[in-house]
Amino acid sequence: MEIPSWLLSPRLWDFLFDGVVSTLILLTIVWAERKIAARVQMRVGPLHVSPRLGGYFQLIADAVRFVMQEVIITVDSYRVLFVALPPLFVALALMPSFMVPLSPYLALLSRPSLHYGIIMALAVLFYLFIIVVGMGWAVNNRFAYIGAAREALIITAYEIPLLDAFASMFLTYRTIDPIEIVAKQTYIVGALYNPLAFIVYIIGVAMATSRFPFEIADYEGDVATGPYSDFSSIFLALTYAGGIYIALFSYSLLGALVFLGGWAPIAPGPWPADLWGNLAAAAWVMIKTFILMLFFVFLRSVMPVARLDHTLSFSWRWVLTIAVAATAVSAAEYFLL
Amino acid sequence: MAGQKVGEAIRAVLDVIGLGLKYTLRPERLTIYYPYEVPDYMGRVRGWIGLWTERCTSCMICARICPTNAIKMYMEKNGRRYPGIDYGRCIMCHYCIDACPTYALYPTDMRDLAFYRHEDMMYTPDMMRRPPQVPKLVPQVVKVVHEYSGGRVVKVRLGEPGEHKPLPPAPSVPVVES
Repeated sequence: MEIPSWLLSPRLWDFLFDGVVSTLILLTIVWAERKIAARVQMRVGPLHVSPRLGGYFQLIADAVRFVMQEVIITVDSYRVLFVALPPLFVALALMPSFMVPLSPYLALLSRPSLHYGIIMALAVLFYLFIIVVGMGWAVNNRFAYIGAAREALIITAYEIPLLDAFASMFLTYRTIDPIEIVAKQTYIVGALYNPLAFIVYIIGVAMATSRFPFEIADYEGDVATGPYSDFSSIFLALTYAGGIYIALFSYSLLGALVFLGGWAPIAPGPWPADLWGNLAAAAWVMIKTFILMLFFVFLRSVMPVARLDHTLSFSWRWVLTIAVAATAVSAAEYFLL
Repeated sequence: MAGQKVGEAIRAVLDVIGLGLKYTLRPERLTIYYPYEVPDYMGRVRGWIGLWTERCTSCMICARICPTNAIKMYMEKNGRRYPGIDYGRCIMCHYCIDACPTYALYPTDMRDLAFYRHEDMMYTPDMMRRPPQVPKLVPQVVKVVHEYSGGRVVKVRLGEPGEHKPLPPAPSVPVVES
């Protein structure tokens, strides 16, 4: 039987794999976050829906509830942005995962633009939290204003160190091409090349996606979920309850490619060049992404919430210093290796 | 950060991550997962209050001693008044049972009382003659208890999961030697 050529298109398979696997990972990660927090707090967590699967289908039930809930648009809000920004948030959060390759051949972009994949992904991700500030303005209540102001301050705190961490890795690898970056991590992953940059990446992503201990802009105890405080139903699912995990997924995918070796195989030797080999490579990337995300959601169960001024001083005093030190390490590697 | 050494902060972060990993891998859950698990009070509990109308002399001491005014005396067809308890007010102090001179009120250990409406909480004397029946919720029920073990609280199962037992019927009036 002749297989039509469009069925073997790498773009189609990249799109399908990324879409399906990212959905599965998101469902699993939200479930895992609740179960881990429950275990650490000596509770049981979601169980009653599907007890044999440990309550996994609770997420499906929550999703159905979010979709069926009434959409409420408050009187004081700016209606256009209130409706337009949550879908834009999800679109921008998911877009970076389509800009980077999942294996040497599985990629949506082709060569000249794929070369700048990680740079474009970072640019899109840094736009994402300007949208959060916009949401705080559109929602227009006091908690949203405070949350948006906090988010704006947090952006200044994490943006430069996070960018610096990625730039250090580019300096170490002497390239910004994602495929070449992964090819250089065949034996030593990037986190071992430059541990300081990896630490900065961990802290920066925890700030960027408001994981604990940096859940400041949308901390429920202080500001009632901040910029998202008047969102309900599908808007909440697109932003606070779902979209921010998609942003975490995109950041973790970048981290898996740059710091954890991407699809670089465990045993030396390349993956097979056929479709199954490429899908296996993509699955290996996704496993690394999942482990990174698991660490970020694990922080919720053990960390307190830092104060805003503490976070800012910590970021400008220490994280920026570590980022500059990481750049120095990378510069040394650039000249020595 | 302020007034804290960097080494201490790093060690604290690593410590808490280790502790979280320990509990993630080997959880010590304290939740009593009702109705699959029920707490065993070992009889040391004040619960639902029953009434033997045959013994009641309508002296109204129970209504007078009730600290929350939960007991109301209902007129019955035979022209006498019998107590009925409003479980929305009752705090299960069992003063009425202690005060009853003829032992007409008797204690039980039923704590699992739930009502759909507020009117359902108003027990009339004929309702107080028969203990409320708990419906069968799950096939297997196990009794658990919280215990101290090595300086910390742990949840211990008492025996194997067993059948859900329906509550015993209303006790008949015991004979009392006068």
